[in-house]
This record gives sequence, C-alpha cells and structure tokens, in this order.
Amino acid sequence: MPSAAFAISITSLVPELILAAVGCVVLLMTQAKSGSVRRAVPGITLSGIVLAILILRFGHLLGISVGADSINGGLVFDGLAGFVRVSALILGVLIVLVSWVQPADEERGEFFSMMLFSLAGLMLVGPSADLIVLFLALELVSIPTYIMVALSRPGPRPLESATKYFYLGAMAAAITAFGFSYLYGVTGGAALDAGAVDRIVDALRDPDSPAHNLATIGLLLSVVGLLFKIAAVPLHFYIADVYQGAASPVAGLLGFVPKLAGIVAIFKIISLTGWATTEGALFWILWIVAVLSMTIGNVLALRQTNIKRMLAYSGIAHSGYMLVGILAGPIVAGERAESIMGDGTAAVLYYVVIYGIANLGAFALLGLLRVRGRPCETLRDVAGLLRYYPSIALLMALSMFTLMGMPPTPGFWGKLSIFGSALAAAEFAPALYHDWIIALVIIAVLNSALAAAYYLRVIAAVLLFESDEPAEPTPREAPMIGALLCGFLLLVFAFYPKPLMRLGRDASDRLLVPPPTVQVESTSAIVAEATLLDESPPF
Amino acid sequence: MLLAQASTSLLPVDLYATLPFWPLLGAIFTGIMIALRLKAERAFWPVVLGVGVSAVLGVILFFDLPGMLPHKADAGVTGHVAEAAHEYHDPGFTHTIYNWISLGDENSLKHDQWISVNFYFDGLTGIMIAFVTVVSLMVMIYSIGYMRDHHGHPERGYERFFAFMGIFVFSMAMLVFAGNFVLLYLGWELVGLCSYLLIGFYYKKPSAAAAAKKAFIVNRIGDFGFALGIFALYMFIRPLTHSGENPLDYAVVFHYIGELSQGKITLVALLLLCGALGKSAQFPLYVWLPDAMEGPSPVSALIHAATMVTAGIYMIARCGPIFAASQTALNVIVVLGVIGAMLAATMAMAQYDMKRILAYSTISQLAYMFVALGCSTPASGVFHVFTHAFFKALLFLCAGSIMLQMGHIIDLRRFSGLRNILPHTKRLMLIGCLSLAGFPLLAGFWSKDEIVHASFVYHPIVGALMLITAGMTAYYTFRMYFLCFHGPLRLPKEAGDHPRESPPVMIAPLYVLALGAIVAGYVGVTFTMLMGDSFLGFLKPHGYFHHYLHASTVVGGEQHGGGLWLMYVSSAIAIAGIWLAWVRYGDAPVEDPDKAALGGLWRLWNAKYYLDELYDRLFVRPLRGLGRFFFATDNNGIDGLIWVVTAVPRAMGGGLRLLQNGALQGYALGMVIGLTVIVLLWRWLEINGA
Amino acid sequence: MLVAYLLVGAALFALGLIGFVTRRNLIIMFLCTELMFQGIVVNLVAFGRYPLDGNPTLDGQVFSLFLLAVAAAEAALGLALVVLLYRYKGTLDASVWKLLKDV
Repeated sequence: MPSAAFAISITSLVPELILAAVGCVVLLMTQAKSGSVRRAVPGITLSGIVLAILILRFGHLLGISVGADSINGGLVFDGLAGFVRVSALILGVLIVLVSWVQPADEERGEFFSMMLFSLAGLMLVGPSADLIVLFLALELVSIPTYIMVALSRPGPRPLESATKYFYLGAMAAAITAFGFSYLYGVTGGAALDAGAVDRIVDALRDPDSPAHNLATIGLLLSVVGLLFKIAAVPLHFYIADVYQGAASPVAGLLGFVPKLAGIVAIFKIISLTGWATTEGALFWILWIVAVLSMTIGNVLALRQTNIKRMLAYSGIAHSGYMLVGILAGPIVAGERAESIMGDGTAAVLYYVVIYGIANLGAFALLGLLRVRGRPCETLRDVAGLLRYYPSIALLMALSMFTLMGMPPTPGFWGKLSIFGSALAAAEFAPALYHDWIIALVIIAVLNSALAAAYYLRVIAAVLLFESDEPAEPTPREAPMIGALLCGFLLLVFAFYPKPLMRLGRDASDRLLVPPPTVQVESTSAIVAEATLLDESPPF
Repeated sequence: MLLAQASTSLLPVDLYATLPFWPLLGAIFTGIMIALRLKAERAFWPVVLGVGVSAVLGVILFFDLPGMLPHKADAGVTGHVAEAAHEYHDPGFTHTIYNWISLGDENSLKHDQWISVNFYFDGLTGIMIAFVTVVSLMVMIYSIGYMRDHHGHPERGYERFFAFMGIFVFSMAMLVFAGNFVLLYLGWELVGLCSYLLIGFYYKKPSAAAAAKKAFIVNRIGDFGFALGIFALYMFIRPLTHSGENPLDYAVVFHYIGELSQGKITLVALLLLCGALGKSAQFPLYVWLPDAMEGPSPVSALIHAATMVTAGIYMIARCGPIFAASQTALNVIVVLGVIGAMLAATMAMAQYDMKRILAYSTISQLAYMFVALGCSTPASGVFHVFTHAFFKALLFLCAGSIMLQMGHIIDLRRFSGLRNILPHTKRLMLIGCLSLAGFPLLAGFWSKDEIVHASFVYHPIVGALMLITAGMTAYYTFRMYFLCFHGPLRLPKEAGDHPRESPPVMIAPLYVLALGAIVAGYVGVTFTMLMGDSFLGFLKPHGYFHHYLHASTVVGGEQHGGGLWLMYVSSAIAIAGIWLAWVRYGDAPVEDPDKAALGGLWRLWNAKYYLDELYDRLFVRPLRGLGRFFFATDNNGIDGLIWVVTAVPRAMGGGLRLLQNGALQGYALGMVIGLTVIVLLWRWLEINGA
Repeated sequence: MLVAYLLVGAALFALGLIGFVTRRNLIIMFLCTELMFQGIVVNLVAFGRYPLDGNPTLDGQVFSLFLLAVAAAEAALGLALVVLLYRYKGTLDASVWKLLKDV
C-alpha cells in the first residue's frame, strides 16, 4: 500500500517539514517592504524551531507519530536519528539566539532560511538509511552553510571565505559521491541495510573478488570526502580561513552542524564494514588520520593569536579525538550499563554536542564583543574582560575550560569516555593492535595537554591581563541570552551528564545491527519527499 | 536487626532533597536582578525567601527524621570502640538523586559503580540542617537592615552580598546533605569559596583583600590533606567493594573501613583531620579566622562562627567510624584541641577589637568541640556545635549592631557605657555572653559541661585544662561586655551626634537567636524527679538531643554517669570568672588593669604569642622566597624548558603554517595529495598483509 | 562492458580533480567539479545497467538524477559567488584572494 506508506512517512518527517516550511516563509519575508516584518524574522525562525521541538516531543499526543520506527527504504528512525534530531533542534535554538542580529537587516531572511534548511538537512542525516538520501541530506547541510558564510557580514572577507568553503566543499562532495557510486556498485542498491553490509564485508574479506577494489576505494573515498565535513586531516585546510572570514556566530554554527552531519555519515559508512575498525587496513587509516588531526590541529593552534583561527585549528584536533572514538566503535563488551564508558560511538556523539555548545558559546561571546567598532578576534582584544564584564569573562573561561577538557566540565567527561572506550576496545583487539590503540590514547592525552597551552592563554588573557581598551559588548539581549544558555547547558551537562549520555547510548545501540533489508517498493515516496526538501532552497 | 523502612515521613524525601536548591534559586534570581540592573533596594527578597523555604523544610525535617530512619531492634550501647567499627550498622539512609560520574568499566565485574549525587539522612543530618537553615535565615533577615549606610540606603554591592549568601547556604546544605565524599568535598570547597568571596566583600580595602587571600591559602593547606584523604579512601576501599556499591558513599566506606589495617585507617583519619583543622580554624591552621573578621558582621556571624567553621567538626563526627578505629588520631585531636582552646582563650584576654575577641573565642569553642570528638563523645561535640551556633551568631550580630551605630568602630578603647544608647543590643549581648561564659542553665552551660566532663573521663589533666579555659572564657567575655556597656558614656567621633538603636529588622532576629541561646540547651537535658541524681534537683544531662543523635554517633558510646559535682564546679568557675571581670572591668576603666598587672604575659597574649610573626618567618617568607625562586625559574628555567619542549610542536606549526597560505589551489592540492596518500597507503597495507 | 564505463567515469573524475587543482580561473575550476560529478554519474548509470550480481535496479539512475540536481544548485551558488568576487577585484583569478591566511 504505497499510499499508506506515504502518509506515515510524511508525519514522521513533520519536524523537518516545519523547518523547511518556516524557512520558505522567512525567505519570503525578506521581500517585505516594511522593516518591522523583516525584523520579525529571527523570532519566527526561533518559534519554528521551538514548534519542531514541541512536535518532536509531544507530537504523539496529537496523533503525529514522529519517528515511527521506520519508513520503507530511505529513512530509519532509530536512536541515532533521535539523537541527531534532538541535538540539532536544541543547538538550533542556541544558534538562532546567538546569530539574532548577525547579518544586515535586508539579508536576515535569506540568512535565517538557510539556517533552517541546514538544520533540516542535519536532521535528515540522522535517519537516512540510503546512499541517495544520505548524500542529499549532506548537501542540504552544506550548501546553505556556504551561503550563510557569504551573507554573515559585509565586506570581501566573508566572500573569500565562502568561496574557499564552497569550492573545496564541492570537491569533497564529489569525492564522497564518487565513493558512494562504487559502494552502490558493490551492494547493488542504494539502501544501507543488512544486505549491503553483507556484500561490503564479503567484498572486503575476499581480495580476489572483482568487487574488492571497488569496495575499498568506495569506502575510502566516501570516508575521506566526509572528513571535509568534520575538518580532519587531510581535508582540513579550509577551516581556519572559513572561520576567520565568517561572522563569529556562523563560525560557531560551523563547529556543530557540519561536524555532527559528518560524524553521523561516517558512522553510517563505517557501519557497512561491520565496524572492522580495530584491525586491518581501516584501523591504520583511522589511526593515522586521528593522530595527524590531533597533532596538526594543536600545533597550528599553538601559534595563533587570532582566537577565531585558534578555535578553528583546535576544531581539527577535536575531530581527531572524535576519530579515536570512532576507531573504538560501538559497545565493545556485551555488558550493558548506564555509562557510556566502553561505547566509543556514544562517547563521540556526546562529545560532538558538548564541543558544539562550548564552541558556539565561545564564538557567541566573540560575536558579542566589539573593539573600537570592529569585531573582536585576537587575544589582545579580549584581554582584561573580567574587570569590566565579569559575566562574559567567566562564560568565556567556562567555554575554554570545557574545550580544554578540564574536570568537571562536560568536556572532560567526553574525553574521558572517548579515551576510556578506546582503552576498552583495546582489550578486545588482537595483540598488535592493542598496543597501537594504547599508543593512540597516549598520543591523544599528550595532545590534550598541548591543547591546554593555547586554551589557557585565552583564559589568562580574559581573567588575568589588564587592558587599557577593553572590548565592549553590544547591547543586544538575544545573543547574550544565547551565550548564557550555552554556559547553562555546559553546567547542566557537567553535573548531570546522564540524559545526554543515555541518548548517545541509545543512538549507538543500533549501529552494530543494520536495519533489515526490505522491499524497495516505496522508494518513490522517499524520493518525492527528498525532492521537496531539496528544491526548497532557491538558488 | 530489624529495619523498619521509612514510610512514615510527613513530606516525601524528594521534597526534603530540594532543600539546598531554594537558596541557590534565590541567588540566581538575584543574579538576574544584578544582570538586569534592577533596583538594589529589593535585592534581598529572592534569597531571603529561598532561605526561608529551606528553614521551614529544615525544621520539619528535623522533627520528621526520626520516623524516617531505619529502626534498630537493639538500640543497645556499643561501648567498645573497635567493636563498634566492626559491627557498623548504617544509622541512616542514602537517597540517590541521580548517578553522576561512572566509576565502573564494563569489562570488569564492578561495572555499576558511580559517584552519585546522593543525600544521606540520619540524626546528624537532621540536627545540622535544622540549625544551619534557621540561623542562616535569622542572619539573612538581620542583614537586610545591616548592609546599609546610616541613611538607610543599601550599601554598594548589597545585591552581590545576598547572592553570595544564598550560594553559601546552598553550599552548606549540600555539605551537610552529601551522601558521599566527593559531594562533601564539593560542598566543602564551595563554602570555602563563598567564605573567600565574602571576607573580601569590601575588596577595595587592602586588609580585606589580604584577609580573604589568607583564609583561602590557609584553607588550601588543609584541603590538600583532605583531598589526599579522600583519594586514599578510594584507593583502599574500592578493591573491597562489589558491583552496585559506590566506593565513596558514606555507607559503603564505613561498612568496609573495619577491614583496613590500623595504619591505613590512621593515615586516612589524619589526612581527613588536616581538612578539618583548616576549615574549623584549629591549631596550627587557625590563623586565618581572626583576619576573616574583615568581612561584614553577618558573614562573621554566619560563616565564621555558626556554620561553616563547624564543618570540620561535622566531618569528623560524620566519619566517626573511621576516627573511632584509630586511637592515635583521636589522641592527636585531643592534644590539638587542648592547645587550641588554651591558646585562643589567652589571646582573647588581651584584645580590644570586639570581633577579634569573638573570633578567638570561636576558635577556643571549636577546640572544645574537637576535644569532645577526641574523647569519643561526638554527641557532646555536636551538641556544642548546636548551642554555640545560636549564642555565637547572636554575639557577632550584636557586635555588628554596635559597630553599625559606632560608625564602623569596634575598638573597645574608643567607646564605653553604651547601655542607654543601645538598650536592646545590651540585653541581647548579655544573654549571649552569659551563654558563652557557661552561666548555669543557659545553652552554653549544658553543652560545655558535657565536654568538660568527657575530658575528665579521658584524662584528668585534660579536664582541668578545660575547666581553666572555661574560667578564662567567662572572664574575657565579660571583660568585653563591661568595657562596652558599662562605665561612663564615651563615643567615637565616627558615630555621629545621635547614635541610636538599630532598626527592628535587625533586632527581631536577634531575639529569636537569644531565645535559642537560652533554651537550645534544654533539648539536651532531661527533667527528672530524682533529687540525688540531678543538677539543682530537677535537671539531668543527656536528653532528646542525644537520643536523636544516638544512632549516628555510636562510636564512643554513652557518656558515663555521675559526676554531677562537676556541674557545680563549672558553674562556680563561670560565675567566678564573671565576678572577676566585674571587679576589674566593671566601670570600664580607660587604663587596662590587666595590662599593668600581667605585664609581659599580657603583651605576649596581646601579640598573639607572636605566632603570626613566627609563621611569617618560618613559612611565609621562606615560601615567598621559594615562590620568587620558582617564579624566576619559571621565567627563565621552566619557560625555557617549555620553550624547548614545545619547540618541536612550534617548529611543526611553523612548517605547517606555510601550507595555510590562503591559496585555494594550494588547499585543493593538499587535499588531493592527502587523498592519494591514503589510497596508496591502503593499497600498500593490503599488499603487505596489514 | 562495466569496466569500460567505470574507466570512463574514473577518467572523467580524475581529469576534473586534476583540473580543479591546476587551473586558477574560478569558472574553469567550477566546471572541473562539474566534470567530476559527470564521472560519478557515468559510474552510477553503468552500475545500474550492468550490476555486479546481475540484478539491475533503478537506484543508480535515480541517484544520478539527484546528483544532477545538486550539481545545478551548486552551479547557481557558484556563479553567484563568482559574480560577486568579480565585482570586487575585476578578475576571475583565484590566486588574488588571499586576505585570509596564516602567513
């Protein structure tokens, strides 16, 4: 019954559809003559996201079965989808607040509609269980962010930044798509289900089969292309320039939305190998990429005095830590407990969200501050804030401590669970790999120590140094509320990390067990929706 | 052993568990008011309301708690110390709110272990939380009037004061409620932080800033030991625990403590004691407390007399099973307590600053409590904590009232004869002084007498020293009282022309505290009809209070009977001390008679035995020198070393920076090369069998 | 047959990649990414028509259509950016844009 399947799929996607619809409304509002209509744009964006949250949480009371277990074919609403949707919407609220006043009045509609489309794309990455849907969702995440970077502030810099981001992003997308095409060739269908996993695993195991090379190249190119999204070595080159050129709130968004999308997509691709991440060639690739990302990110950040560039480089290092968790893979031991220790993917999901909040908080504060009318970027600009604006200074310190991984900030819990799960994975790995995993964890810990050097420099500048010309906060409530909320969430997750961890745990639950293969009858329904979503951004 | 589970509570436990958070909520509201720059005039409301809710909950909990606790079938006295430790019965219950930090790893058998956010309820909790919240509320109400200038306008930082006080009450309640050592440590550090912030409330005054720093640093020394003690506990206890038992929960620790060797227990006990010495300002870490009087008077009353400084006593009482198992540690406590009591009492005899006299008397009284703990009668110690909170808070607040009307002059040489100007304050102060002096039938008398008695049982010399100290306490307390209120009227010029009594909002809470200073002792005594076995024919030590605490402080067992003669002796000594003070200071002489009479000794006391100077020579200066040395090495050596160590990363960074040259092509090339390398690497790995 | 198509697809992709790295003209660079996408489309259609397990599905063809749509969206964005960049500097040379850099 294709019609029934179609009906179910539409209600399952109501939160995403709300975002897309509000995005269209907001886009139209830009054309309004009246300034007051245009000024209402951020408010409407925010209420759209809040409505999506409400539907997601209470939709079942209205008979809207959001996230009904599965739609045949392209989308599966499992724990991972739930995690991505919830975190995307909650971070979405923060992002809207933080960038409330960002672009000029006339461009605000475009800006916020792109933000909504991007968030909708992120929410579709979570449930996608099909190469086509996954690719489209990833592009729906990326393309609006290029535009947001370009629109975020006037002048040539954001334009240059958007150009670099766009060109390199298009190249990376092409690499990913090339990998996808080979994976499709090996599996014989676009679905990422149990059958696909079987075929890929068979192809990888048997070096003589014709599909072997296709599978390896497909896998490698897909993952490497996705490294662009999380800004890991070797596709990290763009990140500092993009962050520096974009307005601070957009840079904060870039630290979360593409990163989570990339991480989830990498999960889905690596799931195809049955998580053979602790041995064989995949192990070495991940190992090397992780080590290089951590190290290169940190050493580049070490020499920076521009905080935006520093945070960008440190983002590379954080991707490196996340790759350690991916290498550890989902639940390694059979024993189930409430903690995420030993569950690498859950730890990574937890970490992405915490990193996203702390990063957004730091950029929100940078965005709030002005030095002689220009945006605040360097260490000198933030010096001596404690004396004049203690709340901003303390929030900045909190964000930095979280990024640094200082106990008891949630950043510490995140790192602890990632490294802990890597160690747990080492216990189950063959002897040779065991030692190398331990080495990886040691390198990661050393890198965390190295990272402390530059985070502490910011903290020292903010708290200890004096400045004759301190930065002034712009008298805007919404970004300040956004920054305060970031700080508040960090405190909550420091002392009550369990709900987020449990959500992460649920998300990684199904990663080892791919969805069963189903008949591909209703693909057309999925395709119809995807078209609807994809065509809404008008270019 | 029969355990009747807690089903008979008046209010749900979850509601009681919200108790600490009301003041925090109030503080957050006040913080928002600060952020929104609302009028300071009303800034006290959220915090006072929050603390009020806490106080109501605290009092209800106090009466409700006995019914909630698991009842033991045999409430028999476990007399022998070592035996008690082995047969540890959990006297309360742990209420887990949520699990916080996972200690378990899934691969071992101990996978379900946590550092939880859990609260522990037993008699000790009930008593502490009741008086902490009630005294806090009184001090808060008093502060509404106190923290203003003489035109009645709020002082600068009025709202900041209330926000900090709210956070303090939250932290203190967390400290008391904590069900495991990590949460205890958290509360411990938080109250320390609040103390630091509030001592330095007048941060523009250099002496206040210095005092805040001193308090913080001296406390760090103690806390370092405390933290080591907790680490040691974790190290020793964790191997003994099973899955599902959180290794740092009180119940678990006390259950397994008996299985440790004597040496380990003593080590843990002494390390924990370090923390208590710092927090409760005991010899040799007492030096911060007199300086802490630089803070506003309500802070001195609440934090540095009634509540926070008793945290050390509370912690030792709570860790009774640990301390009871180590006689060495108990002996150390007694010795330090006796030294502290004598030292502080003698110092107090030769001071002129009212708040400092009270500070020394606080140290001295805390030392009494230490002696009680060391003599294995923690119930008496906690009883003294309880009564002391009322009369010491009362005294400090009275001193604050005098200070406010004297234009922030508190030197006894600058004024006298205030009895007509401040009639209410005089009356209240008299009650407080009598109670502190141990005047018969007042609160202080009952609790202090128990301690003196316990110390006599412990060792007669200790008992004698305690009695002498009690005499000195009565003497210096009334020296202060007479110098202030008696004699001819003299006013400092800072007081203005017409000093008058403080407003009702300050006086009313003082009457509540004064009531406490009179009757608080009666919860710890029993009315009796047996003439021969009672004090004055109808009162007998040990009462409701001790039954209430009984299960929580099984450690030392019941106090020994008899010794009623001691009560008469200590009454006589207290009255003699007061009489002596009357004779020498009754007319508030301008020339101090003791100064002439005692000569060198008086100067020694006045100079606080030159201990501050000694510390300065012995520790501060060498450490500062060491600090300078470290700073120099840091600047040259370490920085050089770091420069060398980070040379490699920096050199790498320098090299990699060249790639970040802003060229789009360059980036693309780098990415493509990276991609190629990865593909080739995979190929190579496969050929070489990975 | 499949191998031949795959070779064509890979060759298109590689040419696009090499062109992207070596050319400086922003429009040519953009066309190079289009070339890469066309290589992928060839792959997809080839796999759809000559599947490895001999059981053809239409997924490849569908994917290629979507890919074209995405490429079109990117083209719109890319050309808009190029116009803006040209207004600033009057040239399409990518190497003149180095405002943002480390060294």
